[in-house]
Amino acid sequence: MKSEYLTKYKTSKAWGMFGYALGISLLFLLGGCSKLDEKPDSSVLTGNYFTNRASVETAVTGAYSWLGSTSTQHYLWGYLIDDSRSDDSYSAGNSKEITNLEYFNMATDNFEPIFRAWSDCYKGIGSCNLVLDNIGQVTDPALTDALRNQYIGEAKFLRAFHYFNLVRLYGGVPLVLSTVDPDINKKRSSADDVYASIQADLMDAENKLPVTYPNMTGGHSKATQGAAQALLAKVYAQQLKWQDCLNECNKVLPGKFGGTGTAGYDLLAAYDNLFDNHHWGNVETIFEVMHQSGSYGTFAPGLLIPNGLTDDQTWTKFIAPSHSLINAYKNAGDTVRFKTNIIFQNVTTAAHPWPFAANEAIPFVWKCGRELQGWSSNQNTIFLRLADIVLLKAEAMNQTSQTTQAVLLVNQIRNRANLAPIVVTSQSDVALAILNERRLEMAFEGDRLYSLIRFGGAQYTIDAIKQQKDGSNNSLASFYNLLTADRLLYPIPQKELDVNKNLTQNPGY
Amino acid sequence: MLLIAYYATNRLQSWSLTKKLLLIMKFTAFILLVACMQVSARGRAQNVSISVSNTSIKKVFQEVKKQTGYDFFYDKNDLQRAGTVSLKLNNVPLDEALRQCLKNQPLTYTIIEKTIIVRKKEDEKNDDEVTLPLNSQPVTNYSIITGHVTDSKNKPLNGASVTIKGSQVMTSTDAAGSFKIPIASSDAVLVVSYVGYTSREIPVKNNNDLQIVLQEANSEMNQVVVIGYGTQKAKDITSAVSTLPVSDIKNRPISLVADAMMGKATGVQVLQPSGKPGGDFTVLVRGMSSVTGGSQPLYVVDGVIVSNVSYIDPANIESISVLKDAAAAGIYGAAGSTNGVVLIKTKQGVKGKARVDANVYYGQQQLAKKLPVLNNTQLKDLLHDVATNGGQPVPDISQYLGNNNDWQDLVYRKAPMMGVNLSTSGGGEKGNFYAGIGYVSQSGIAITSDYKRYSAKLAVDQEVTSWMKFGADVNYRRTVSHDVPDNNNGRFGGFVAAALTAPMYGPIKDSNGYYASIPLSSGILNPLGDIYQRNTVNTVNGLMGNANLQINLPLSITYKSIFGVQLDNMVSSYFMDPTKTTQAASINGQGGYFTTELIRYTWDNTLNYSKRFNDHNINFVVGSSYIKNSTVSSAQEARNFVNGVTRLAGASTWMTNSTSSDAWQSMSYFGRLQYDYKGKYLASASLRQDGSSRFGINNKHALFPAVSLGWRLSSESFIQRLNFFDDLKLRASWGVTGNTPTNSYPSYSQLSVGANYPYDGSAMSNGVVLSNLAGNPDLKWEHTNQYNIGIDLAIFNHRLGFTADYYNKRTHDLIFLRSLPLSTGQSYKYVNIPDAYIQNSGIEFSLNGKPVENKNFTWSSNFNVSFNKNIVQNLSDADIIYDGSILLLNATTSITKSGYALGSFYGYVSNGVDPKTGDMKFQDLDHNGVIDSKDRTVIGSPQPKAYYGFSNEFSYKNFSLNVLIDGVQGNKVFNATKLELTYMSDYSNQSTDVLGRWKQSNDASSLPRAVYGDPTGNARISSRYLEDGSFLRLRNVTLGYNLPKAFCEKIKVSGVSFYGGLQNLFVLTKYSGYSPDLNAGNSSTTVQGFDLGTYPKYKSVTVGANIQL
Repeated sequence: MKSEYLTKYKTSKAWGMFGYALGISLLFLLGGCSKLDEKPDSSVLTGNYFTNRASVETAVTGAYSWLGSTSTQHYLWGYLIDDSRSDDSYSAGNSKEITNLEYFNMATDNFEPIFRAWSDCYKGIGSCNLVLDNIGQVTDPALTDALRNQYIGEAKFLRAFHYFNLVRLYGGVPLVLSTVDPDINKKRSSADDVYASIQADLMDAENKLPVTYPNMTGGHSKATQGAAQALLAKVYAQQLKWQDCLNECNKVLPGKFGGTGTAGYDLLAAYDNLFDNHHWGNVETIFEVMHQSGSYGTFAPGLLIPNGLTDDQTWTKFIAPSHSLINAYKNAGDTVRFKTNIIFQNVTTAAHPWPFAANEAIPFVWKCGRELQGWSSNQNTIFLRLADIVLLKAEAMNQTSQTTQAVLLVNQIRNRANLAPIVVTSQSDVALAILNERRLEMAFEGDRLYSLIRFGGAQYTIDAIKQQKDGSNNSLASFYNLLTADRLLYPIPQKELDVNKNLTQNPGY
Repeated sequence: MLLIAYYATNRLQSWSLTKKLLLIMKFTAFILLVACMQVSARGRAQNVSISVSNTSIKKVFQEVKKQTGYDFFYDKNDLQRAGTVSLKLNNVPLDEALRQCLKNQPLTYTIIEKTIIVRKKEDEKNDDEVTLPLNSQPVTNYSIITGHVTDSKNKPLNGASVTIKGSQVMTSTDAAGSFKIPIASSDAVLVVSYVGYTSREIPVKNNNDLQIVLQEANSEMNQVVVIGYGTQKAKDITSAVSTLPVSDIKNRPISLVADAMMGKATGVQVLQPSGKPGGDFTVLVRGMSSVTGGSQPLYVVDGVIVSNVSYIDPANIESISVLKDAAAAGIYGAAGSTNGVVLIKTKQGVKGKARVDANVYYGQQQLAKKLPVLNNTQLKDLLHDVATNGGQPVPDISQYLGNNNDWQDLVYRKAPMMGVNLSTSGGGEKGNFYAGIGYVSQSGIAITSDYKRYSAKLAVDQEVTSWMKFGADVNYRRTVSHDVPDNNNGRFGGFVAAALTAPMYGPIKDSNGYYASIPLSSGILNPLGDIYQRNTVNTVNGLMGNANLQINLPLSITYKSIFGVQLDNMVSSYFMDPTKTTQAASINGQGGYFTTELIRYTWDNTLNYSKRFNDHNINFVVGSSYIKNSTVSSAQEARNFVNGVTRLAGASTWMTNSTSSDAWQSMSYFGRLQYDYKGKYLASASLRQDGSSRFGINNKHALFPAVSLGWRLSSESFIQRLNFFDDLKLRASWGVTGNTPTNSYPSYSQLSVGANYPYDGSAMSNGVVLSNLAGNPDLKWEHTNQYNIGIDLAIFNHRLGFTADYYNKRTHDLIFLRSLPLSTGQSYKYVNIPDAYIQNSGIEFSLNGKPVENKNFTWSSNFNVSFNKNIVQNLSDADIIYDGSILLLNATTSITKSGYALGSFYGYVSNGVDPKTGDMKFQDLDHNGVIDSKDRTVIGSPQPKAYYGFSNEFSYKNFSLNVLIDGVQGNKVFNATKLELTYMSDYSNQSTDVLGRWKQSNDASSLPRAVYGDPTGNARISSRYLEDGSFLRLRNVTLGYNLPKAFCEKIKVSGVSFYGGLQNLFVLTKYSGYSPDLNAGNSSTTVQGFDLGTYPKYKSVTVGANIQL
């Protein structure tokens, strides 16, 4: 064996040495070639992304995307199901989440609507912060002052929009105003501080945003000066700062509503055109979320409109209009808005939601989308429109003892709905009339609960909810046994409390 | 070289260990001494001339040997006791010379033929010392016989022991396999034995030059086991390595490698989460050790780390070994070796006559078990109760009662399967080849589902020069499978649950010819509609290959380089046919086309030094390993198809259109030293430095050491003298392995693209947003420390083998996808949790036996059982993972939290039904008088306490019978299918169990009342749905028949065998669902034992044939 090996060795000596060299060098040089450096190329690294105008614009676009992407459930339909907490709608299907929301039976943990609202609002805020954190470092001349202001204004408008939703849903929340805030376990700020931040953002946005954008035929999808003013009016109103509210309303409203606005907003002649999916970009909408069938569609219509009108045969619906709301339309003799907002179907193939009598035609929400388009509808969602501001101004005027002028505004709204004008009685009657008018006008626009709170406070809101009756006129009060003033706020999601030990839960949970 | 020793055994057993060791050392020294003397036994002069002064007797003996050719036998201890001698002899006879030499020494001598036996004088005998065994025998009767021991290939066996039966005389062979031994008479019988070979008894008779051939013992210990970067004989292994028997593959309808691994080895648990044809298996080696790093072992095929092994046709497998402990897996250091390493060697050509093998089988499968559901009459009664108790109008189903559709019968079918494998191999002096092609076609037991695989393999090996060898191995596969929707959402998605919850009154099609929706049924899908609506085809084209070069360098060093490439093209496409359902019609069809191209190359270079210095055996490996893995994926989805077109070309509304990529690389250096002394004392140590691109810049690299020690007691004389153990070895090991996150870029803060927005409602604008994942540049390796101690033994001439191992495996620095406060705008961050760990500890027993072995009948058997305990510790509440979602309740079933096994079940503790109200009672764990979410607790573990396998092979003449049984014990299964089938809170169909529901006050029932909407939460996640998941499964029974050899010769083939088998014939279990081992969580570590509408399992019958040309 040995000799055999030696023979081999002799014949291969040169090759052997070569082999050594090869082997050893391959063994150890290989590492030198590889720095083990792999960077993603399907995404971008945050650190070196913001270099030019276009990069800022994409971040602004990203901030808008949270409003309606199918991954952002709160703005897609969570916004609407929140209405089921008011006396306008019931939970209508087999979704335990919505049923529990309807009954104010909200567990802190593992309760998706509450978690999603928190998550989606803060994701949106993160995007706004991303823009605001990084726009300062961009020196690209293409980023003109006008554009810079516009982007800052858009980001601040959207940030205020999200915080406004958060503060109404949860009360005071952690105020995060930068993506690089080292304090990731932030304490809750007071509701007042959150409102102050919202106001500051909107006031800055109001100054920086343009009045209008070119080529917005598809809808008023971008934040404008008017949008900032309208939102600010709502923010003031919710804090009952009526004079400030009135001032902001006047900036938006055109002369015919006693305002000084020059952006060209007006009421659309036909109420139904606002929601028929064929009149986008109209004069009345101030800010709306765009949807595009296919890649950026909404499935909200599928969750609301009756089976017989959709291709979908399986889902029971998420919310159904309440008897209280239906009666409000009937009592007002309001057929125009009734027809636009609610549709009735004799449903035989789906389980009956509980508040309806056995042979009662079932009402469905008709306002929020009429074409399912394969669960990806292009129906836009209106967040701010002029009628809202007109009524808000009426409310502010009435609250500031200008009741007569307030009634004129209400009647302008009623006129479109073919309803007779109301006559001035007492300030409190007019307040009630405005509340009712808002209800008829703004049903299923996520407004009712906050209008009730604004009007009468927590107890009034609770009473209104408990006064509801079912289809056989039986009281539904016992279903709302859990409802207390505390429960008008959502609980902080347990998941968030788990990871942020500095957070405190809302009282009552 | 002649080594002869004399033993005295009678007193040894009472010796202390120190004495034993002392003796071992003394004896070792003696052997060394003798070995160093070159002895020539050729005839020489009988007279001796010596002139020495103060010289050791040993030297004198050497001189005598030189002059006479006589050999000396002595104990070196005796010689050490002797003093020096001074002699002056001139040509005196040998006898005289010896007498002179040993004068005044405590020694005496005897000459037997040409051997001189030197021993102590009788009165010098001492208890502590080795004595000559010949004392009672008249020494003059001895004669010396010689012999030669070889293996079956005529290779001399060095160190084989030769003993005279009934005496203590023993010798061992030299390097040439030769021995000499003194015998008392020609009746003597020699016992010849050698480690790893079957001992033989040889009557000496009148032979003087015995030619003895030992057959290699057919035992595990002698197998060459593939280990990391090399091979090792099983007997030398000091770590925990399981070699899986694969001989049964050719007689079983196995299409995937993991299937062949089931029940075969301790510490290796193979789970088949669904019965889907071609469905993925989960292989767990010693439990689940990581949450985010995955639970799958590292697969190494022919030396190349590959990402999956589904490309392998099991028929091409030569061996599978599983490296279980850190000492074995440690050389792979990282990248999943924490979960064990599965080494697969595929067949290569062998020298000799070319051979052709053909294997073909055909079989039929059917649903193993059908679940009973309500008929229309029973359902009508239930619906009445549901509605009435819930204050709802009673749904009127009378108009549908004409339908009576048993959806299970409509959905499941008897499904054929078949497989063909053809291979040819051969080789000459310099090279060999292996070529094989295979085809597997398996229809699923659910309509439309199937799996087909076409595969081909070519392997060549060529000795280019006397010192260089080149080899290449190429594998190709194409798999095509038609998938059906199961799992996920239970009744809201997936035909399995739908086939149970859809009422029998539901029509199949509606008046438009579409698959009808189920009337009044709370969102239950039409199972046929669900299947036919979406036609999913998955295609994979895969090429796997390697080229390897081996160069023998001087100084016994071998250089080996393996370059491996894996290329997978995966396409998944679906089409929702607008002619099938209303939903599909409303969007004019929808289609998707998703591709992933994976390319991975690996380059491993090793230098191997292997050398035996006398009794010291050294093997040293150093090497480097590089992997680069890249994938590029694309996704296209669109709707609105032109009538009749099923490809995206015919679509007009785009939903998704994107590509993305992902890449990672790793670079490692490693070394391993294996050492043994006489095969008796074994040690191994390895060190690996691993770097991965997946970690933060500061922590890319980590070191993974491992050591192991072994002691082969059976090579010790005091064990050998017991004459009981054929093999006895103790092993101990410790080592560290590592794991990486599955995400490729966890260290970078990124912006996600694709957050687009249609400002004007038509065209999308590009948008970026913060990614959900926050980057962590400090992320480092997950470490697993593992201890292992084990014992291997074989007795009864290797007919019974036993292996036991204890291990403790702890994963530290857990890589965790930690939830961030959402107020940061991001959701997660990969972090190391330094305090938390996951521990798997357990014991494993394996018993191999040949209870019967004779000419006509043999029975060989393996029983293995493994006990594993998995626990997560020190995990903070913020890092708790909830998983296992049930959409019906919007609730989760599983929790991963400190103090419990991964994926434990979490919910309320059910106290049965309140006979008064008919509602479920739950335990108020916090005693606050309210049942709320704080009353949830861990209610069970999905992880078995034990799992086992029992395989048997019987052969009687030309018949063979294989029986494989496997099972698990002591785990719980969450029967979410049962939850949906006993919900009784909506208008779906239910299990016949609900016939025994609570109906009126004082009913004693285990099922609550039926009530619409479940207002009291009877269905909440609770122990009510936990069932014992223990089972014993008769996985396979195969009866085979080999055509007689004579007949084969007549028809000019080497062999023909036929076989018939039954798979999954029965399962012994208390579980009430389809099968206790279904898991909707697939290979997830945080969702296990979760039965939610998973594709059920089948039983099958197969027939097949093997032909060898």
